Amino acid sequence: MKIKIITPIWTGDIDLKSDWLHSTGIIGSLRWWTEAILRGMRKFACDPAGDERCPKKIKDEMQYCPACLIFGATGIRRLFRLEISGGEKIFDGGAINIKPQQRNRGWYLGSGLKGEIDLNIIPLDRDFDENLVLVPLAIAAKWGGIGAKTQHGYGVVELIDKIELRFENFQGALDKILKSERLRKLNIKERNDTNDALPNIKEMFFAKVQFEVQNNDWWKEVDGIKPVSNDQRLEKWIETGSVPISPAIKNWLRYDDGKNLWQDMDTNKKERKENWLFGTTDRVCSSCYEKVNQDRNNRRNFWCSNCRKSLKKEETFERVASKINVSCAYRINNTTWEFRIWGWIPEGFQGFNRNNFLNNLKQALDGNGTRTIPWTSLLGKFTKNHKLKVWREFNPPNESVINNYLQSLLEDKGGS
Amino acid sequence: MSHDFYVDFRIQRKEDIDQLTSGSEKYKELTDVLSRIMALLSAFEKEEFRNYAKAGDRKKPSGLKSLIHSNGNYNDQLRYKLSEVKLLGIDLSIDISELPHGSWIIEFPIILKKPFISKDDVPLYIIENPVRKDKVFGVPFTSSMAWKGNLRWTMMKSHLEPVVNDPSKFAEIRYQHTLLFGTEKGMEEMAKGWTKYLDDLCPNAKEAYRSKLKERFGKDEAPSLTGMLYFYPTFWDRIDLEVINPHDRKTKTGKNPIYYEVVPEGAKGFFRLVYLPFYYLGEPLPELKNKVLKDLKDVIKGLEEMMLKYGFSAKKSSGYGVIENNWDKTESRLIIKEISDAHKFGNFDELKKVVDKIEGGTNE
Ligand SMILES: [Zn+2]
Ligand SMILES: [Zn+2]
Repeated sequence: MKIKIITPIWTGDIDLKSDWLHSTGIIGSLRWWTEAILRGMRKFACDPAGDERCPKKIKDEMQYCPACLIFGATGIRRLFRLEISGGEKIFDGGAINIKPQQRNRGWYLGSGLKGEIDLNIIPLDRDFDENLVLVPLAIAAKWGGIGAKTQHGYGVVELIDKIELRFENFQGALDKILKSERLRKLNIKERNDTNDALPNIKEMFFAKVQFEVQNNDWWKEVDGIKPVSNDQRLEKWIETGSVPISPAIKNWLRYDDGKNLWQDMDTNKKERKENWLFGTTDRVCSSCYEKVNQDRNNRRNFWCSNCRKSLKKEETFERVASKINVSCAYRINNTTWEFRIWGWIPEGFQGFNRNNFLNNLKQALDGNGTRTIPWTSLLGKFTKNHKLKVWREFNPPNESVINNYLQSLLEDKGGS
Repeated sequence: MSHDFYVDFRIQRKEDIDQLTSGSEKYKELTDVLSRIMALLSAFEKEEFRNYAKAGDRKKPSGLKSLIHSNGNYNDQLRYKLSEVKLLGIDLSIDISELPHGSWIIEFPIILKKPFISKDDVPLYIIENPVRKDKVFGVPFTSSMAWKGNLRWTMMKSHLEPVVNDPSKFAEIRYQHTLLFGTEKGMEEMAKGWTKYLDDLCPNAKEAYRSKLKERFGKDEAPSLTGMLYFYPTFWDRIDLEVINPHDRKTKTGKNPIYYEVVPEGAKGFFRLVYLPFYYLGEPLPELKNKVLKDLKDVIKGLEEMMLKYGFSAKKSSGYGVIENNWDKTESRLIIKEISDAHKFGNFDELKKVVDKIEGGTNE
């Protein structure tokens, strides 16, 4: 199975670079997508990085969630081996700093990998069916990204061998590994728990935006790129057929007029919502996302001035990544380019109106709302005809059955 | 190591970790890298230093990451240790002169195509996943038990699983595997043990298999017999450190990176396997030859799948532990006592061709 890298992929190694492809990074993100899909199907999927990860021991019984049954956990082996090779690094040397106007810090863009990936799935278990891996992979490829740092534009890929995938095959493959007879032989049980506040495909949105360009150097005018447009590292990046526009878009959305899409009247809560939605490198309270500082009365703890509470380290987040991913722009044909904006925006964060935000965002991207996006100042004067090509989110009134929604995500509609 | 060792070298400040890493100040006498790694352990109790002792920080690598990865200190020392191992005659070619008729030896150098993990069973270490090291020399190695377990598992995959619908064939092959590997014990990664697993895999073959055992050994259960295959440990010439950074599902950021010692891609070792056909001894030579060659071919097929496809890592599923199908021919050897002289081969295809030639009787 071959995968074409559309926008550079980041897998990350011990030196915090991404010089070669690490299968663990790819498997990690495949698992993330599988979990989101399983949770959408009302199956429980544990957080494998959290304290509540599988196995859960109840009396003498070991319980595993379906995600762990596929990807493995302490005590059970993964059902398959993923052999991955290919990809070459784009440039040598350190990261490029892309700094949109009015910002003093900017975003750092490390090399990443370009080219093609060879992916070979080797079943290790007789009950394994490739659809367990291929369906989540295809959905990630079609609508999101794989690998790390997708919020910075990395990881858009395309499956080269066009195989027709059906969601019911994923469902069938899942039923097969969850059969009670099989689990009894393995002496384990399926774990049913609550998926509270974990990524769920039902709460995700996916958009693709296309625009026309008037010449091949259009990218030199993208906000934040102009000052580094002569940097050889960046030129090598551009040669891969992708343009890092994520800083420009996210800067607008977070700090510029794009604020209007997510900010409500109550500006007191602005910082916290901003940390929640766009991420932060500060340590924040895990319930309200207020920045916390060392608690003067208890030096091991942190003080949340909003909750007026002393928090243990585990009750804080050290850093938070953005909930919104903006891909690099990539070429569709000679003059048309596309980018993706997608993410997991759960309901229920205090003071944040999810519905309003998504509606505002959709309308702004579509150009038919009251808030318009200053495309030419973000993407440069050589771009035009920006339009929302496709918007997808799970919409219970129309698509009551999640399976139909997931099947539609697998089908070839809208954008690349 | 004495208790004093840890008292004298106890880590109390962050700077101690840097000094230990570089072997300066009070750590000057710790010239052996493995001792320095062991001394790092005293940082484990201090939560504020623990991560620094594993890898240093973003600005500066230190601790285990420096010793194993950034500075390559351990690899320098490994080269020296391996020559010691050789001098002691531990990692040498096998003498065939005393072996019975039909015995065979396969030897060839192996070069890793993907990193290899083999979890050590040391009770305490600065990271949770040290690679398995020889107790005396500190050289990373794959034990003979690990080779045996992995090959048995692979041969189950490639020989038994495809015939689950043919019970008599299944029983026959299962019996062959028992003769090759011995009692079905020590494969405890299967939830209820290997025997139960194979019984369940093809329930209808159970009786036929038991009766073959009875015919041969007079009992239903195989006595605690040894197999005809003898495995040797493989010593590796390199070590490295890798990290997996599981992403927190709520913040999407990495937290608590998990460090793994690995034998990296490109590391070289030696694979040695000896077969003694003692369950066939006394049979007429042509029959002995047939059985020996059949076992040889089946084992080679298993070796090929284990080394090129499934891997032989403790973490088989992580894509680890497969080798390049290309090695220095001059360092290889296949010899079958009284049946064939020594042959050389540079990959699995050549090895299979050599065996076909021997079987066809066109020996030299
Ligand atoms: Zn789980
Ligand atoms: Zn708070």
